[in-house]
Amino acid sequence: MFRPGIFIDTFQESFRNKMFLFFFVISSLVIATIGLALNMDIVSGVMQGVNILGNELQFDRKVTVAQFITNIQTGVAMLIAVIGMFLALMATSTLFAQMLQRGSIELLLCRPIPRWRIMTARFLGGATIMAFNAVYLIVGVWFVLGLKSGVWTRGFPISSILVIFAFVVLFSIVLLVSVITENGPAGLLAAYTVFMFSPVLAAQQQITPVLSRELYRVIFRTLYWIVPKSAETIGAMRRLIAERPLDIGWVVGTSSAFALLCYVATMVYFTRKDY
Amino acid sequence: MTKNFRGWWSRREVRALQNVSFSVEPGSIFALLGPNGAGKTTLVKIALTIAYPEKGEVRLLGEPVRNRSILKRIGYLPENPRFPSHLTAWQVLRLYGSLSGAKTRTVEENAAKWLARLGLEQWRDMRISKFSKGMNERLAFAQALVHDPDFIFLDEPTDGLDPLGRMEVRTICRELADAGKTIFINSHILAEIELICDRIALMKSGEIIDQGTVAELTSPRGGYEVVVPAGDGLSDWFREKGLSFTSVDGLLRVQAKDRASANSIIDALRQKNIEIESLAVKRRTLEAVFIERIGL
Repeated sequence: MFRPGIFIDTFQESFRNKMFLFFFVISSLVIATIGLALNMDIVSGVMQGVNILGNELQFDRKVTVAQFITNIQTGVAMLIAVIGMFLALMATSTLFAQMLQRGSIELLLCRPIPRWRIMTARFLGGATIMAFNAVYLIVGVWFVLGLKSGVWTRGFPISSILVIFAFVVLFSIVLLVSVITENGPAGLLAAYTVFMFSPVLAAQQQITPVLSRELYRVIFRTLYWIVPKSAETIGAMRRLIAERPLDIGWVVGTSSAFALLCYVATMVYFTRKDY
Repeated sequence: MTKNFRGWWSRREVRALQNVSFSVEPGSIFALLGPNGAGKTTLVKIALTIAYPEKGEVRLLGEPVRNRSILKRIGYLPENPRFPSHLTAWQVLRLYGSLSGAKTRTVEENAAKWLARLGLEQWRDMRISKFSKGMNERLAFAQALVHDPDFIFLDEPTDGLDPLGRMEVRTICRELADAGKTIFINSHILAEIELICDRIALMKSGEIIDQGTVAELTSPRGGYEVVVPAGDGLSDWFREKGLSFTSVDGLLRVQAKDRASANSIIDALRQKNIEIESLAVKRRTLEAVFIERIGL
């Protein structure tokens, strides 16, 4: 029987420690700013000027409304995918370590619930909170911009799936490292390392040829294939918003495999460990 | 049951439990006593699947704990419990009650009952981050009972409680046992164990070294004490007879090593028309037994 206790408790915890509220307020401010402070001067589908918080902005060249909206959406998407990702990982990194504290974990493991379900509920709780916030912000911005401009792009709201995917992959690293070390900051550091290193690996086609030895090239390529491709996932958001062709099957595939491996390794470790 | 702990990097092995085997009668209060590091908590953790045995198995209420569904009928109060600090007392009981598989209605009825019984009714909607240690311990006790379990493990249940709280916990334990629930207690407070437990096991270095009822463990070699009012020449008479005695508050307390000696002393005193104030079987305290058997 499904018992949502731990999943709901993760939500309650994020509400009480203001994590959810913080993201909700920031997201609402971004949506409200775009909705209230951005005024567009449009003539026959072409941007004549923009007024942001009373500041006039004239366009030197011909910019269509669709192009302008796409640019704003891309900017917001990158903001969410980079800064939002850092904050989201930081906010959720303590979820596992707190649950594993002595005196706390015993109260969960003595229940008639398989261990993997306890940890999975916690993981899903954390991921759902962040997914909700990402969808709220992206769909909110999309809706406001659509109302103001009449441009309803498909790519921007769908790109929320990619940012959630990128978060879940990095969150699986937090899960694995936090459970093994029983330390939240260690998990956060591991996820940040992968996240910050991913643009370097994404440039492997440019970097590999300049490496001096074949061994280094092999190591670099192997790392590229193993480590989740966060930078490329985020890059795919831009293409999606611009409605350019999207060929990310291998990015999603290898990143999913990595996340799945982290998840399975965590479950194996967690179900066998003595607490 | 056997359990050894090994470090990740070292080959050093710590023997936590060695061939431990015992059973607990349903509807009784059983206590596991032993010094720190004896393996008591490890044993309880294995019984609750928080840790795993290397050899052997634990059966609770007739079923192996490998079948986790039996844990629905088990309550557990861990040592130093730590609840999510964002929850209120009511939410804590609802959360852990539902995780134990009890119906919401049962959990809510029991939560209200135990919060009232343990003096936490007026704090039910207060976040537990504001609770004192004693309040936290009372809540932990309520948490162990909220799903109406049949077998309850209590690890240091009176730790952090004031004397009234301790008495209440003892009373509840006895009531639960009388209602057919089985209670398993880990405690260092021997005087309390002596007051409420039906059976006791002594544990040392991962082994059960003795077990029995409180009477069985404490009765032998205790002797008898005959108390009489201090009278003229009585002290000298005891000295002549070579009897050991003490004089306290106008009473003489004469020690007899066995029942025959006690009877002969009483006969002699009665022949002298001396009234007997009291006669008591001298039992060793559980603490004395503990110190003797554990070898401190």
